[in-house]
Amino acid sequence: MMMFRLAAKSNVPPYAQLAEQVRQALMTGVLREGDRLPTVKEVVGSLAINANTVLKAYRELEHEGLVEGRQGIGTFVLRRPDGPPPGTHVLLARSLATWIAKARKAGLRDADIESMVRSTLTSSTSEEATA
Amino acid sequence: MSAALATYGLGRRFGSKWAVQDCTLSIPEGRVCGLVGANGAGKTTLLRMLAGLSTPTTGDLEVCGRRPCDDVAFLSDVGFLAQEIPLHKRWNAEDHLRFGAAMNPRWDDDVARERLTALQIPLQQPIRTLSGGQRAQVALALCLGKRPRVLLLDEPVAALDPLARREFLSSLATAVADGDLTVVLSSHLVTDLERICDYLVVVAASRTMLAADIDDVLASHRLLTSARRDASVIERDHVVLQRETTQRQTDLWVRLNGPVHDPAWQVNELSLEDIVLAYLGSQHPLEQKQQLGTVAS
Amino acid sequence: MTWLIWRQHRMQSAAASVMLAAFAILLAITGVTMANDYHNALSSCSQRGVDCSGLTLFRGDGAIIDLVNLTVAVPLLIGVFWGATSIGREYDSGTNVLAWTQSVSRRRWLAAKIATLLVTSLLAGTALSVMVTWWSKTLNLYHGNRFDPLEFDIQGLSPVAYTLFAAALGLLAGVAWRRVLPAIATTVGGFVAVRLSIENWVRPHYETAVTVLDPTVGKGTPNGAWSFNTDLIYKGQVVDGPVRVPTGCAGSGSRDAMTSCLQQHGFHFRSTFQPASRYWPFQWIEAGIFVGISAVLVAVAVYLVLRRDA
Repeated sequence: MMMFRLAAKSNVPPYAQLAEQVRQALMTGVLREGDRLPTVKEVVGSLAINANTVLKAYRELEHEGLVEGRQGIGTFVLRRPDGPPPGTHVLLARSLATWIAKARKAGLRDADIESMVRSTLTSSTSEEATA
Repeated sequence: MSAALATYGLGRRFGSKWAVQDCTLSIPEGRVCGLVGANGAGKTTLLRMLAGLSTPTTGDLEVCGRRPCDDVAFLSDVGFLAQEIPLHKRWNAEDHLRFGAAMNPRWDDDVARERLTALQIPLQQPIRTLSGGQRAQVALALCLGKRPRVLLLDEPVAALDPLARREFLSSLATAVADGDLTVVLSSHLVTDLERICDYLVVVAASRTMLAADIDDVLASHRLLTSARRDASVIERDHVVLQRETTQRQTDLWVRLNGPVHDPAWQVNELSLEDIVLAYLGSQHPLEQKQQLGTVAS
Repeated sequence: MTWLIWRQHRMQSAAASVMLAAFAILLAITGVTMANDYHNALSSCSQRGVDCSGLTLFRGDGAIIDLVNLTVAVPLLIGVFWGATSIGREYDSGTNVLAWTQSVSRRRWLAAKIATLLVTSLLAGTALSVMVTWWSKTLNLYHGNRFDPLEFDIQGLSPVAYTLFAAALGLLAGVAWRRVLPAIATTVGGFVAVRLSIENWVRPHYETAVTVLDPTVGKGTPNGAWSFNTDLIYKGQVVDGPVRVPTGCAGSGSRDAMTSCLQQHGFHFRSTFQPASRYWPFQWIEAGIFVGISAVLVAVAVYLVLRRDA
C-alpha cells in the first residue's frame, strides 16, 4: 500500500502533489493495474488534510484514465501512465545517483545541481520545440 | 448547496466595545471552515454566538436553517468545543461517555468509544492525569458522539504539541470524511488551518475581512511587483490590500477582479499565509468594500 | 440529566448521610440518658419535698451540649459546600459550557440543579432540626430557655429555613461571581450579616414585647419566655448600679420574702419579655422571612443564568 507525503512549503498545490505521487508510484511499479488506492478516509487520517483535496487528486487521475472509482468499494488502478517501463526507471535512477556523486565530488552544492538540472531541462525543451 | 451557517450584519457589544461588528457570512454545508484572526479579533465571540452561548447585540444568524435557541432540536445539531477544553477533571473518559449518552438523544456510543480506543486513550483514568492531547481527543469524541450537523471548535490545537496537534486534526479530518458534517475551527495560525480547511474566514479587529473557498482565494490573490510606478490603474480595476513602496520598487498585494493587462507588473502567486497577513495588516478603509467577503470566482 | 445529578452528588450525599447518621446515634444515646436523669432527679426531689427549682443537672454533659450548640453553624456549612459550589464551580471550571453544548436545554439543566440543591438542603436541614429538637426537649424543660436566641436558632423551623437561605445565598453568590472562592466568602459574610441583623434587630419586634410591673412574687420573668430585661424601679426611676438594701429587709429568709419586703419599701420590678406562648408564631414568622428571602435569591440566580452569556 502506498504512503502519501505532503511537502509543507511547496508551490505545488496539495492535490497536485498527491496526483503526482500516484503517477510516480505507477511508473516505478509500486502501484500496479488492479491495485486499490488508499481510501479518502485513510489519506485524510494520515495527512490531516481536507477530503476534497484527495477527491480532487483522484478525479484528476480518473480524468487521465489512470484510475477508476467504483462507488462504495474504492478507487482502482486501470493502467500505467505512458512512459518507460519500471525497469527503465530504476536504471535511470541509478545512473543519476552516480552522476550526482560525481557532481558532488567535483564540488557542486545541491543547490547548484538543482539549478543545473532545471536550466538544462528548460533549454532542452526549447531545443526540442525548435527542432 | 445550502448554507450550514449564515449571519446577517451580526454584532456583539460588551459595554462600549464591539467584539464582532457587521458580520455577514454564508458557509456552505460540508465545508471545513477556518476562522483566522489575531487574539481578541472576535473569533471566540463569533463562535459562541453560533453555538447559542452568547446573544447577539445586533443582526441575525442561522445555524442549520434555524436561529440558535435553548431547545433540544437546535442543541443536538450543534457541537462546540471551547478553548479551555472543559471536562470534569475528577471524572474519567468512561464517565464522560456516560455523560454524553445521558445528555444527548442521538448519542452514538460506538463512534465515540472506537475513537478513544483507536487512540489508546485509557478510559478508566481520571481526566486530570491525561495529557493535553488526550484531553482534546476525549472532548472531540464527546462532540462527535453527539452526531451534530455543525461542529464549532475554538482554537482546539492552540495548546497542543505538534504531534498531538497533528493527531487531533487527523481525527477531525476523518470525522469530516465520514460525511454530513460542517466544521468551523478557529486559530491564530494559518498553518494549522491550511491543510484541513477548504473555506476561510479572516477576522481582524471585530470585522470580517474575507470569507471564501480557499481555492478561490489562492486563485484570485496575487503579488504585483514592478519598478516604482503609479498604481492607480490597478487600484481602479482591482482591490489593493497592501502596498509597499521603496525608492526603486512597488509591491502590491491585490485581490484580482480580472487579468492584469499591464506587462510592466510582474504577477506572483501568494501563499495562503501571505494573503491572510495582507488582510490582517491592511488598515485601508477598503474594509467596507470587503464586507460582503465573497471573492469573485 | 438524572445520571448527571447523581454522578455529581454521590460523594456529598454519602458524606452527609454518614455524618447525619453518626450525629443521630450520638444524640439518641445522650438524649435518652439526659431525659432519664432529669425524670429521676425530679421524682426524687419531689419525693423528698425539696424545692425542685434548685436542681443542678447535666454538669458532665458539657461536651454534647456544646456540640449541639455548634449545629447553629451547619446551615452556613451547607450553604458553602453545597450552595456555593452548585453552579459556581461549573462556571469556574467551564463545565457549564460543556453541559450547555450537549442536547439538554439550559433551562432544564438549571431546574434540575436548583431542585436538587433545594431538596437536599431541605432534607438535611429538616433531619438536623428533628434530631436537635427532640434531643433538646429535656433541656428545654430544665432551663426553660428555648425562646432564647441560640436555642431558638437550632430547634424547630429555624434550622430548616436557615439552611434553605444559606443554600440560596450560596447559589446566587456562585452564579454572580462565577468562581467558587469569592462565592464562599460572600456566602459566609452575607449569611452572618443577615442572620445577626434579623436576630438582634428584627426578631424582638415580631410582636410588641410585653411589659409587666411587679410580676407575681417568685416568678420573675415567666418560665419559657424570652426575657429582654428586668429593671428595678425606685420612685419612678430605673435604678442603676448597686442598691442599698433597706435595713428592714436585710433579714428576709427566702428570695420571695426579700422581694415582697423590697416592694413594701417602694422598690418595683419591671420585666420586658416575649411570652412563651409566642414561641411558635415567632418560629413561623422567622422561617417565613428566610424562605421569602431565599425565593428572591433563587429568582435572581435563575435570571442571571438564563439571561447572561454562558
